[in-house]
Amino acid sequence: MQQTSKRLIPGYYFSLVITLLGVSLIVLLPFAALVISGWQVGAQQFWQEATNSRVLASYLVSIKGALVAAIINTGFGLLLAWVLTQYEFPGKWLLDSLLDLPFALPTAVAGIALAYLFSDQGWLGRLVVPLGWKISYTFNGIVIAMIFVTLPFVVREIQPVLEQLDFSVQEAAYTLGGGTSTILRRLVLPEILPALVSGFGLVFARCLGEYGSIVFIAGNQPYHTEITPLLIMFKLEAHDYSGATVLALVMLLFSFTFSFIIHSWQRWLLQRKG
Amino acid sequence: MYIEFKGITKQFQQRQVLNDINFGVKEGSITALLGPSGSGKTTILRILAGLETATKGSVSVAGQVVDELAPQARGIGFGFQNYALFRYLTVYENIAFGLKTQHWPATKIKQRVTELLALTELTALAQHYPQQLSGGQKQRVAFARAIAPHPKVLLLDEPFAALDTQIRRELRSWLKQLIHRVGITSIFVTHDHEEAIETADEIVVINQGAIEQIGAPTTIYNQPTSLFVAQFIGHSSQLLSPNLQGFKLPVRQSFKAYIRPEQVQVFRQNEQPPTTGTLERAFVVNTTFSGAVVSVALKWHGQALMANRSPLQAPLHHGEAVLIFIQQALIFTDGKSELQRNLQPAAAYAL
Amino acid sequence: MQLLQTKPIKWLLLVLAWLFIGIVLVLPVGLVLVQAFASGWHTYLTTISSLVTLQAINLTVTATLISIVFNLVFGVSAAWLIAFYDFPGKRLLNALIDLPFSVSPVIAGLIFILTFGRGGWLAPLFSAIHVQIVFAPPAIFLTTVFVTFPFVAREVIPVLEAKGREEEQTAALLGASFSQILWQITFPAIKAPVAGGLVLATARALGEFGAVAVVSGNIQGKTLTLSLLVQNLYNDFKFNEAFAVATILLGSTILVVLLKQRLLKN
Repeated sequence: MQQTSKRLIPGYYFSLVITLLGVSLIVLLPFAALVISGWQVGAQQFWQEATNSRVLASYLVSIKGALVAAIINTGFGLLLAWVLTQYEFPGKWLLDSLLDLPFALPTAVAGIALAYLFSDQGWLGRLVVPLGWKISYTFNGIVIAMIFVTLPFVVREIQPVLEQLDFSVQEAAYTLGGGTSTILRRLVLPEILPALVSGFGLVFARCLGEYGSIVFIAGNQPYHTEITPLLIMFKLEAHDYSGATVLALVMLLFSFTFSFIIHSWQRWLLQRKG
Repeated sequence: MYIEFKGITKQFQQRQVLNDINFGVKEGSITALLGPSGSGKTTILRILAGLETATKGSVSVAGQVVDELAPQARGIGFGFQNYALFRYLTVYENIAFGLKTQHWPATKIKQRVTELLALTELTALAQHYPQQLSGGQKQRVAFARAIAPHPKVLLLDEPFAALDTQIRRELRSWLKQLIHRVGITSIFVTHDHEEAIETADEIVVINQGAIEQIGAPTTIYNQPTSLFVAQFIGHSSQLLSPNLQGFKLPVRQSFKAYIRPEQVQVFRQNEQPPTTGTLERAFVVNTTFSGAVVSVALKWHGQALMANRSPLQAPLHHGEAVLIFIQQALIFTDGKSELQRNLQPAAAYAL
Repeated sequence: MQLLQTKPIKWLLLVLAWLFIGIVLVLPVGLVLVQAFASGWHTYLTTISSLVTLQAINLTVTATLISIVFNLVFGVSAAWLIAFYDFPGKRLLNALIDLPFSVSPVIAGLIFILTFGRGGWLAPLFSAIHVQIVFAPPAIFLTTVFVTFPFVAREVIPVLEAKGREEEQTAALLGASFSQILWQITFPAIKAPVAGGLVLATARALGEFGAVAVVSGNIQGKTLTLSLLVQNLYNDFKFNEAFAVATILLGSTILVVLLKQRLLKN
């Protein structure tokens, strides 16, 4: 029981001052500027800026892309985590190491590489041209870039859970005669679901905000392949600061609401699991 | 008194953690603060150490009021429950730590640490790191580290809680001897009455933020002054207004009697009871052999009564009718307690 | 454990995993290396040793070093504060420290323009002392610090909280000073998470693009980081040169990943 204990350990004010100084200068002050700048726009203009048709289209592109990427990465993340935790195979360490690459690889490098690779003349783009598909400079490209940058999120969320999975429960179920699919659905899935949900949430949120890897491959056509962060960039280049501010605030509001929902969902799942 | 608590009261978010605590500790003695968890015993220790502040009241050490002093300036050695050994320092460096911070000269540090290592039988482990030590060894390092700078007072929070039963026993008597040899005034917190009785010179029983009783271990054990102490310390059978032969019982008034198992003698019908007084009849419900004693559960006038019997005596059977002699009982009437011995003439007989 | 362990299923899942990783991870990285040398060694070497590239390296490394120092001081302070003391508003502080992680890089750049740029809050102050922040290196440093803000704190806080305060409290009771406790008791216990956090911060700082793109102004020789240089070359259709510069970033990234795994093992 720790009660109102005195601050016995020296350094309270020292660490307090440094921490508050850092948080104020780097986080609070700039965010205050954003909020004030948004306030100055005025309600009517704010609404107009936030809902004009090009802006609405960009929300749709961003959300659709993020959703598709999150679904794909959740599926493949599960696969990769399963393979890494349940099987022994040569090159396992390599696969595991490669997964860290998107965390560290500069987004601009990823962006140009993907754009080049999936363009009509690129190593991979070339292969799908006969099928009548296009990847670079289309919505597909946006999804590819989003998949790339968020590849490790789901894997790294599920991996520790799968590693600690109580095998005796599974073995018991197995000996009691439950089929593989029953065990997976009834015993394994409930265990990993909270991690899966939080991984999905991380991927989705990161995809919404992603910029660097997407600009090169997206084509950036208004109404079709223009993501919201890019639109903010355009507005800034045109010195339309209030327009950029409005979009930034809408994005922040959306992502906070979204992460709140994901958190609540995850907490509910964990509680139910006990 | 060397340490004096005067009217210590502690409030924490509307909750009364401690209520008017008054007691003193003699120089060179070992005092146990004994109570269930949440009773506030640890808070008393932390207030003395300066880790927490009392809402009201004051504490003095060696005649000096320490309320305003920083914890570091109070001359107190403190041992946390988990020892809190510095895990990246060796045993030697752990013990020397407090001496270095007080800028002792190097030769004196070496002399003092060597002396303490010998005292705590840790000389061979001087260059080991805490994670290489057993629980008992860690406790000894923590002790040596705490007393190294010659504090006026040694405080230990649940010093044996993290140890195995066997090691705990050994360490208790070892620590008691060592503290008396060093002569340092010590207070420790525990929830284990056996630990308090075996180790302390004086026990302060605390319950719900207030002192229930203060006294020597024998007094606390034999003459509890409150129902709580009677129940909390040791094992007793609790009987409601039993008709005890040979005792002065309250008339026309309900009362409670607490009878310790070792105060009840059990005889088979064919055994020679060493008493000329009246024996009571009871029935055996159950017997449990636990090594040194056989613990006997009895039914007596419809109430449950526990007794001890030597394993050397003939075994008892379930449902067997036996004769019992109650040597001593604690009679509670209206919150007042009285320890009574059976007035009937009984031969000295001990289990 | 026998689930999905039959040979065909195992092989199917393994092939799928490698195929996926191959397409979205290995091929792009391989492509960078191949394209970088597509115009020959000579072009590669002239590109990566050109003045513009060297200036970009200089700026990127400076921004990274500043972020590392900031992260070290701030991260350890914040962890010390949060793990060792109880105070009102602790949860809020925790949330504020995490905030930069959940913000789009473009927004990260935008907020600094709104603070220091023309018409910004602090613009009059800095123009009065003739210091340009936005479209100049200071803004690049600030945004890089912002995007790497939580790394060390996030790694160290859970470790310190799990460790508990008793060692430090004991040391304080024995009369130890702040620096004695920090260096002898606390620091040895948090070396690994501090290093881990710094590695992550380094990777992010080296490669940050979006936030820096917003505040940089793209002035060659002055505010061009390596990532921005890659973008400029690519947009000028100098693809092979862009990939050549990208290898510098790729190389440092792989180094960082290896370093991280080395640290995790110990």
